[in-house]
Amino acid sequence: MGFKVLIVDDSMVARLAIKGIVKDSVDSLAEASSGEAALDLLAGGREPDLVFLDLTMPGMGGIEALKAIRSGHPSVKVAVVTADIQARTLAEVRACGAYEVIRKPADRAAVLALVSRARGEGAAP
Amino acid sequence: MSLGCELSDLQLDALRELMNIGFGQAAAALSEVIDLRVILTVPKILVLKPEEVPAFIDAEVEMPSSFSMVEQFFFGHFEGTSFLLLPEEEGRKLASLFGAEAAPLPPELETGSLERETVVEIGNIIIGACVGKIAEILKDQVAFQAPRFIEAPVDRSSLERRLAGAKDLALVFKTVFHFERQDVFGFLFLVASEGSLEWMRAAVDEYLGSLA
Repeated sequence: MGFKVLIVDDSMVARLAIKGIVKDSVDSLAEASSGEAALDLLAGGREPDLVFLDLTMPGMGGIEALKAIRSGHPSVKVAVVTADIQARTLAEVRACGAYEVIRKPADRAAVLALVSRARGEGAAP
Repeated sequence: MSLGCELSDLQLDALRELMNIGFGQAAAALSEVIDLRVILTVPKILVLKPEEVPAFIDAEVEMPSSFSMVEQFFFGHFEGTSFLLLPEEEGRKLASLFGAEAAPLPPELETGSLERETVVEIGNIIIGACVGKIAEILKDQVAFQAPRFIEAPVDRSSLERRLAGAKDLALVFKTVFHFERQDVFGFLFLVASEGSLEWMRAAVDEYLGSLA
């Protein structure tokens, strides 16, 4: 069991960035390079505790993936990791049920605090 | 052989991601100016020889190409020239977006002036955000010359003349900006100077190493 994380980003470098930060703080790590691949993993029963989800991806975009995950797997927490920091985008993401928004480039302390909170080890904000 | 071959897929992916972050900054700045949401798409990145750029544009844009263009030089370890090209019609669309939010034009200011000012301002925002963010993440600091508007029509031959002086490769970034009211797209070209390319490769490798 343990705490499972899924990183979804079309950029291998972006996945590496998150992976490098969280690798010692989680028990299991999986990666997907698209929203579709992420949903396939979830449908296959590999349900993580926390998903790091990029917004700007080819094919299924992050918002659509976020909605699908929240709808089909409501217990999964989804942290959106995005370079799109417009107020309207952030409002939409939160309205769609994002657990948290992490601004790219990801800040190590913010990501670790998020993981800690998601694991129930830290105080909720 | 294009020097682009000397950049690995991972290095290109890193540059694409840096550009993505830069455009995110640009979108936030633009959306504040025009009070419209800008929806970003995945930027396309290619590494081309300068003389290959006009053919790339021809392939990407289905029209007799005539552009509004903003040119801006940047200086640092990361050094070169940036060109923001907006198909002429896109420049008008952007001007109308700005104009819709603005007070009525003073009589001495013609519509063409508004278009020019709009394109320069947008060029300044996009170029500054992208180049500045790339430089910042790669631990460099760049200075900018004032942006320069190149009067339309900028056609293929005039673009070829401008790129002819560049000896090395062009990093070609294309992105599409979707505004809430209409689609507007443009091209951003960063032509890195020969001297800065070696630095950039090393800086990207260092950045990648920091992620491990």
